[in-house]
Amino acid sequence: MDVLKLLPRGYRYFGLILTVPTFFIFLIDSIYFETGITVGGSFFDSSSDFFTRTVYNLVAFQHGEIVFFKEIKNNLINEFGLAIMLLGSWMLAFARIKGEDEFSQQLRLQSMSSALVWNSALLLLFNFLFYDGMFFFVMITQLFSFSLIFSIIFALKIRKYRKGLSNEE
Amino acid sequence: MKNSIKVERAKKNYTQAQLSELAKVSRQTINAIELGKYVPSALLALRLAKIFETPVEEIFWLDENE
Repeated sequence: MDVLKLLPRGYRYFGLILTVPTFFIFLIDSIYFETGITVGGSFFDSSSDFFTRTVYNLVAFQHGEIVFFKEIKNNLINEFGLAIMLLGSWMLAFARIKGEDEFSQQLRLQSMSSALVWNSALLLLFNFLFYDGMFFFVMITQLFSFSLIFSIIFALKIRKYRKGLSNEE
Repeated sequence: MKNSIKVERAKKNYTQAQLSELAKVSRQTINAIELGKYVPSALLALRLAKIFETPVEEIFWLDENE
């Protein structure tokens, strides 16, 4: 009996491939933008024109007025980076595991509950540890941190139960 | 909740792997049920009762304090 609709197993590896390098690039760039320290240069350097495109801002403020669908030129590399992180973390979180059944569904729901608690606790802690520009990056991280924390907790729970199988027939 | 899955399994001479295949669940699910770490759904409980040819109340019963 499926409670959650899940993606095929292969998406788990695809999610890892998308998430891990993008996360490190994001981390390095956060340090670059805040401190000026470069690690091989900024990947998300907004001076690059390749990703600069004309887009439409759904809601914008112009001279104290609200403007809808305002045409602007924007470097989209940050947006693509965030989209890759979100999609990758969702694939990682919602892909089937080997032998998916009602027990793993229960572990999945328990992991979601734990991830919500941990994610909220981390946000509460970071609220008092990061200020000014760095807090902006904390908020960006919060967009995908829930899925990542859930994936880690779920993987640990599954590993714990699979380890116990070696002691049984 | 307590259960006698291990006893019933021994009567039929099934391994956990064989029982898990018959019940259409993973081996870790059967293991978790036997250890009392997981309470199966009604569907799975009825499936197990059918496999063991035993009433479900004889396989699963409540603790005294439940």
